[in-house]
Parts: sequence; structure tokens; C-alpha cells
Amino acid sequence: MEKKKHKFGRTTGGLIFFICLMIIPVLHTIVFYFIVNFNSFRMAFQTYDRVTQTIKGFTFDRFGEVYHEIFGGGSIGGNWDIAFKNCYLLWILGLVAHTPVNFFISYFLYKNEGVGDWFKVALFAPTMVSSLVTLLMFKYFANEALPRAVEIIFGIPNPGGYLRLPGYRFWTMWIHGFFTGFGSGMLIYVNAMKAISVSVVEAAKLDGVGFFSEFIHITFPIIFSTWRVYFVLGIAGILGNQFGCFPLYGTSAPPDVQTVGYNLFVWSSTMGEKYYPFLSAFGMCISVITLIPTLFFRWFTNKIDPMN
Amino acid sequence: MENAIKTPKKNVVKKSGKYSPFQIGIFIFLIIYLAFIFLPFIWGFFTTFKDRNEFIENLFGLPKTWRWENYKTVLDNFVVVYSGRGKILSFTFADMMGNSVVYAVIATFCTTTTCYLTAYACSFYDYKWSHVMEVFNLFQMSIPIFGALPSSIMVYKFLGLYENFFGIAVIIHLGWTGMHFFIIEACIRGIPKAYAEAATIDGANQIQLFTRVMFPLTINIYSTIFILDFIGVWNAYTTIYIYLKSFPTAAYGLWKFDNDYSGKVTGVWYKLAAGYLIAAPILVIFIIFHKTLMNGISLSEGVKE
Repeated sequence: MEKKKHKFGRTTGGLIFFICLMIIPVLHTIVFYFIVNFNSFRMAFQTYDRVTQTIKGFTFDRFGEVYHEIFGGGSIGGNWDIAFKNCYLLWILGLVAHTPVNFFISYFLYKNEGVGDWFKVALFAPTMVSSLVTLLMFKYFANEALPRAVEIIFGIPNPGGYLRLPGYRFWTMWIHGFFTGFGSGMLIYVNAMKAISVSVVEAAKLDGVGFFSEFIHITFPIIFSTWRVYFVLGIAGILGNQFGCFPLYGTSAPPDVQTVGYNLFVWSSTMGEKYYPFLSAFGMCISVITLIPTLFFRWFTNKIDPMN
Repeated sequence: MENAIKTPKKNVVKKSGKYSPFQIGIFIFLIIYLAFIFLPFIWGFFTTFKDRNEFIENLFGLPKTWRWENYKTVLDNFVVVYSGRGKILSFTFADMMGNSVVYAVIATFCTTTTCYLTAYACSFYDYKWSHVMEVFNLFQMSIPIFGALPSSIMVYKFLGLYENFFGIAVIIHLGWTGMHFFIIEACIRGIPKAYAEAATIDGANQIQLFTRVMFPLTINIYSTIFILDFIGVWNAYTTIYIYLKSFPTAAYGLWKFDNDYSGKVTGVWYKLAAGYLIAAPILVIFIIFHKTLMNGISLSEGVKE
């Protein structure tokens, strides 16, 4: 899309006003992005001195600790094989199950405006309420009401709560995330679809395009750039996904539902300063692991964008 | 010849009223989906009026006695205690709701205004720096950086922002990056430049141009983003958990309350009641403003009418 910029800044007054508007955001970015990340980068190469209780020095030992923690059984106690597996499994499930369903629901709402408006409100409403509240409701529903209902209706014995037992809780949490994750993305997709020119749709219908064909050949190519944004952000966030563990289990999530993002968050917020260099090195390693596929898929999706 | 170029008689504007099997399938899926979403809420709501015996014996049915006193019990016993910096503070539910309102209003104003002004500057003024800011926003959204939480805690402590209400509610929330930046930019770019040209010809300076022309034309997007940010800040509890435990909000209090098994009120019905008390203001806001929120936030065209 051609960018429209008003050329009103080419005066002294405009320049001064522009600078005034930029002071706070630039300062904020310098302090809370560059300095924080530089400090994190620096700490990854430092050591906590127990005598002076300061972080100092220069060493690569922290990266050795990270390697030992992930591959050598570790001393802090994260279940990393499960955590990494859960992160990638959640991403694949999101791509294979959640994304197509989100598309087709959005497309259905776009094509059926009268019915669609009511559904849009109903689908969007849960995302307005705190995830903590929705998870609270779901936790007690899944642990108390749902098992009893399944036992009564289908005769399947009550296992004791679907979020309490190892064989059930991962998929119970995923199903909850699947159903509650449509809200804002659906809204963005529907509005992107509404931007499709009516004449294009009319011309397609004259050529005999059906409901499904229209989506494949017209709608999806036009909203591809919108989907691309979410796809690349999803790649970047694979290992940061906390899977709703913190609101459900606090700092004591069971091993089978832990993710890399959850472990990193809990450790960072509960462990003291002596672990900060290790956590910084850990974060740096995770960032590098995630950066390469993010850049690749950003390039790749730009290459295959039908509108380019 | 005429038959060769004859177009089929199809009314492409008016809906035929017939649905394909695919549409019917999605419709059925949506019904099941809505049932899945709303059943826990409905069940939870009825459960808040029960006691221990009725919870065990009448798990699914309507409450035989509507125990509104359960909500009063929660209001009286929903207490969060903060001990730190040499003091012990106790916060009731009313205290935490008040904290939530103050924190959410101030933080939302800061974050929405900063984001809006930055997007305005980048979309309205044709400087290279505008492009730098746009690229940076895209960069920091798409390039993952993990493990910065310990560093940010250290920086906040160094700057005196840690456990400091002004620091967390104001300074931290002067950030401008994120998807909202692009949405606001798209909206401002959609404003015809004839308005600004006319104002400039009439002698308006930059401040007058902004306050009397551009901001009034884009107040819709500001309001929409403000509401979305308010809901986000109201619901956020991890920021309080990490940086500002001495100023607990309702969302943080609910998390503590739900994970507390030693207090006076530990029944499921009490915890669900606490959840509804906290969700109620947001549901009211959504009911009032749902059209504003839903009728057209777009990455391509900003706010639509």
C-alpha cells in the first residue's frame, strides 16, 4: 500500500513539534528497551559474587550452566525435554487446528452479517474478561462439574478432575486455549475481509465461484498479509508461550504442562539476584534459537505473498 | 452471438437464502463453541449462590437457596496482606478495586496517549526518523528477546521505580510500541490531507493543527484504543505481581485469593464469586462499548465508521 505522508513537517515549527512528540518515546525506548536488553546481554557473561553480593566479571561459564541445565539433568530442576516439546507441540496444534478454524469462522461471520454480528459479540466477549477469571471458571468447571457430567451422561468414571491428573490436564488446558483464543484475531480477520472490494466479489460470483472457492481464490490471498503478521509473531513466541500455567497453578505447575516460557518467568520472578546471570544467559540462548526461524519465515512468507 | 456473451442471471448482491453444507457445518460448530465458552460461566454463576452441602448434592442445578451472603463473605474476607519495606499492609476488596481504578485509568491514559502521539508524529510528519520508528516497532515485535525480566527488575530498582506507584503506573506505561501503533497510524493516514492544508492556510500552527483539526478527526481511534488498553491494564496482574505488590489491584488479589488455601474462605463458590466481582466492571464496559470496539479496527484502514 502506498504510504501517504503529509508533508507538513518542513517548517521550523513542525520540526520543533515533531521533536517534542518524540522525546518521551525515544527516551523510553532507550531506557526500557536498549539499556534493559544490553544489561541482560552483559549479565549473561558475568558471575554473582557471593562475598560482595554483586554481579560482575566476564566469563562464558553461564552458557555451560545453561547447557548442563537443559541437557545434563540440571541442578535447578526444570523438565526441559517436556517444556520444549510442549512449546513446539502447542505451536503445531495452533497452526494445524486453530488457524484454519479461525479463518473459516471469520469467513462465515464476514459472509453472514446479520447472524455474524451476534456471533462476533459472543465470540469476542470472553477475551474482554481477564484470562485469570476465565481460567478460574474453567478450572473449577473442569475439575468438578465436567467429570461428573461425563460420568452421568456417558458412564465414563470420574478421574478426579481433568486439570488434576497427568493424562488429562495438558489436553484439557489446550482445549480451553483453543476455544478462547479466537476473539481478537477473529475481529482483525473479519475487518480485513470487509476491506475486500465488493466488485471483486461480484465479478467472482458472476464467474460461478462458490462459498469455499471464493475463500481459497479471493479472500485468503487478500488477507494473507494480515495472517502473515500473526504467523511470524507466532514463530517468535513459540518458546515464550506460558500456556496459562501461571494463573492455573501459580509457581507450582506440574511438569507435564510446563513450558519454556513459564519456567523462565517463574524463575525470573522468584529466584534471587544470584541466578540473574544464569537466567540472562538462558534467555539469550532461547532468543538465538527462536531468531533464526523467525527471520526465515518472515522472508519466506513475504516471498509467497500472493499480493506481491 | 448474443447467447455467447449472455451473462448468467445471478443477483450477486441479494443473498439467495440458501446455505452450503460447509456453512451449516460452521454454524453448528459455532453453536457448540458458544456452549463450551458460556457453560462454565453459567455454571459458575449458579455455584456462587451455593454452600458446601448444596455444591456436593446439587452440582448442576439451580441453587435451592440464593445465598447472596456469599458475595458479602467474599467482600469481607477477600484480603491481601503485603509485608515488605518494614511495613505490613492489609488490603480489602474495596481497597483493591479502588487501586484497580486508579492504576488502570492513569496507566491507560499514559500508554494510549504516548502511543497515539508517537503514531501521529510518524504518520503526519515526513521525516526519516518517522520511518526509523516504524521499522523499530516492527523489529521489536517480531524479533524475540527472552530472559530480560531479571535485567528489567534490576534497572527498575536502580531507577527507583520498583515498588513505586508513580514509576510503575506512569513511567513504565509511557511505552508506545505494539500493534496499536500501526492501527493508529493507519487511521491517521486515512484522513484526507485537505483538512490540514486548509487549517495551515488559515494560519494554524502545529499545536492548533493537532488539537483543533487532527485529534478531533481521530478521536474515535483514540477512544477505541483507550478502552482496549483499559481492559488490558485492568486484567493484568503479572505487572503488579512482579513490580508493585505494595499496591495490589483486584486482578492480583484474585490470583492470590485463588491460590490461598489457608484463609477463612476456601470454598469453590467463594472463589467463583470473587471472579465475578472482578469481571463485572469489564462486562459492563463491554456491553456499553462493544460496538465501538468491534465495528472496525483494521490494520489497513484504522477505525472504520
